[in-house]
Amino acid sequence: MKIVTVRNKIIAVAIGIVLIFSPFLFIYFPSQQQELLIDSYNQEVEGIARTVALGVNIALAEQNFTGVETAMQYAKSDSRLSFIALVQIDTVPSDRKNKARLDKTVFSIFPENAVVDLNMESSEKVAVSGSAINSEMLSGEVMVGFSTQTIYDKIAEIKFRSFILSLIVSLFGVIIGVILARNISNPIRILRKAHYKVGQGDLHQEINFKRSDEIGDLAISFNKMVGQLDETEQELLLQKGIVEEKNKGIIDSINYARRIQDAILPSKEKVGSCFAECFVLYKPKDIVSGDFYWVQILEDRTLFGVADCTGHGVPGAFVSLVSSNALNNSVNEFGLVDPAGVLTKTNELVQGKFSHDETDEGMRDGMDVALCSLLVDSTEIEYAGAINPLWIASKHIPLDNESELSPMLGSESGNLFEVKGDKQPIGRYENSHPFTNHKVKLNKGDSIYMFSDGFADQFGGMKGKKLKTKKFKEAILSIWEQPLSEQGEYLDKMITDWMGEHEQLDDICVIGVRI
Amino acid sequence: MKKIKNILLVVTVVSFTLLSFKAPTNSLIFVEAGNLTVVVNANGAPSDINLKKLKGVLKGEQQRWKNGTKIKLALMKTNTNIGSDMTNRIFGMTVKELNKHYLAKVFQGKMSSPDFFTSETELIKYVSEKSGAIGIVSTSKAKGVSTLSVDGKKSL
Repeated sequence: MKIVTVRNKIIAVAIGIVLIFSPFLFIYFPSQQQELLIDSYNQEVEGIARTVALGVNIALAEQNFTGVETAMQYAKSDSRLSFIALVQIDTVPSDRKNKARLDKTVFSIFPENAVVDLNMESSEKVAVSGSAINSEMLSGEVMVGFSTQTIYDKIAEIKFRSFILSLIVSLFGVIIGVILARNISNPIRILRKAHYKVGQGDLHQEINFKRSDEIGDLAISFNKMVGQLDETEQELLLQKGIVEEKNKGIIDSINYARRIQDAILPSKEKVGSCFAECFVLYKPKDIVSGDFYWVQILEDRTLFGVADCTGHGVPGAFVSLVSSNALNNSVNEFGLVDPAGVLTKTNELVQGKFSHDETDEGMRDGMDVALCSLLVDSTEIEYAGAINPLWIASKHIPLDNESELSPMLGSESGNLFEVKGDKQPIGRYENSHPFTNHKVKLNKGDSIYMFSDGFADQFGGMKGKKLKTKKFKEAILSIWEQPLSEQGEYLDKMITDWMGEHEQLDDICVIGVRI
Repeated sequence: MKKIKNILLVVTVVSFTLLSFKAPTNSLIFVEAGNLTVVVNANGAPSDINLKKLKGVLKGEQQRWKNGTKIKLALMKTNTNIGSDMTNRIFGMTVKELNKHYLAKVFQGKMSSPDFFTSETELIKYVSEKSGAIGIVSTSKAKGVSTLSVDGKKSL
């Protein structure tokens, strides 16, 4: 459950405002009232003292005691009266020389038994005030004391009322805050829920509340937006249908192209019949492939190879058709049987096919290929390569044109040798020259491998890097003695595991043959 | 509200004082010693009283006559000869002492405010009209009003 919500924020603001104003209602207002009450009360007491003093002065001056009587009756009628005293002040000689002091005595007091400290001042219990009497007969003051009990009772009552008021205001504030929060947050929650559903793909959302504020505008905008999204989705669905229809047509065409491409690829039975033992790992990136393997069975030998045409997918497939056709023509029409001759002729044919295309793409059209010729009942092979090499796994040292090959990788089970192809592809190439034919003497049980670059260039592993040739070599060397079918399965699993969630980068084709 | 009450109170006190103030009509009255007579309103007052009781009545120590009528003192101002003579002879006090006596009594509410007059005629008129009233005038003026014998004597 989320704590930081619009509703909680508004409630917090409302409570904050209430908390700010509550002390004003509960503390400041009562204190102001208290001050006013006390001031007013002191003035009232002072007024009574002055009135009585006026009556006394008149009485002593005019011998008219009516004023005193009236003032006293008024004062006495007040239940708050504590005392009212006539204080006589006489100037008497002091003990000190040439000094005099004021001697205060109670001349008369009401109530008669009241005891008053003549120097007392106002306190929390009594409000005291005095007013001077200036007469020849009597000099002094009228001293009045009124109980403050009623005032403090009133103050307590004000405090209580303020407390109740502040409580009511606080409660009211919180209720207003909650109502306001609900008023604002509820439509926002409805909007959020509707947005969420729209996010989930449900475009049939409509906000029904009607408000004249910004949230109402937002709801109208939302409904408009959803309506437009719905229209857009319908349009997209329509377009998607069209695209899907077209895509289906394209896929159907490509699938048909795949069947055509499959037709140029030798069947498994044909390949299997050529060799004592072999495997073909053929993994096109798309439906059709730029890689292909090629086998041509002649009376005294079998020509076989792996080609990697420019590009992949449909363009690669088209190039592969041209290249495969060129290979076939080199053997069948021109009677060439040595791999170098076949590749040289194939190169001529392919260059001829693409000669009309002077674009950069046209310049690149062609293939890398490794081609071998295995004589019947012989352990000698001929090899020619356009870029792509031939790998040999053996416990012995093979001879390449009578020269011993150097192992590029070794283990207890044997060594891995490499016969490099010419550094020119099939296709247009500057300084194009005839391909080199390699006569390689092998031993019974040796394994030879040809492949496209798709296997070693595949991205994958923990870090998403290329597999690289080194790992490929190590894998070949570790399995070369195993049955070829198992080697094919092993390499298939290896490259699948390596790819993991990564996309296949290129077409993959690997052929292994046991001599 | 209280302020208004205070103001009204002050106005009342001042008004009472001004209304009570009566200019002396005959400031040259001279009364010889022995010519004071106690005049009373017939309602409530006895016909005879002893001097001690008279003093008690005049000092406000007795507030009501025997029949319950409230005693109202009507005296000549002490700045008149009659008033001064009365103060000395009956109260045995100085003017200052008498005023302070009445002040203390009225202040404590032990007696009602005595009414002081500057004219004996007005005093007599007041006494004759005011139930329970008692006053002292010169004997020569005590006509048309009830008098009170003090220790059997008509004049003091």
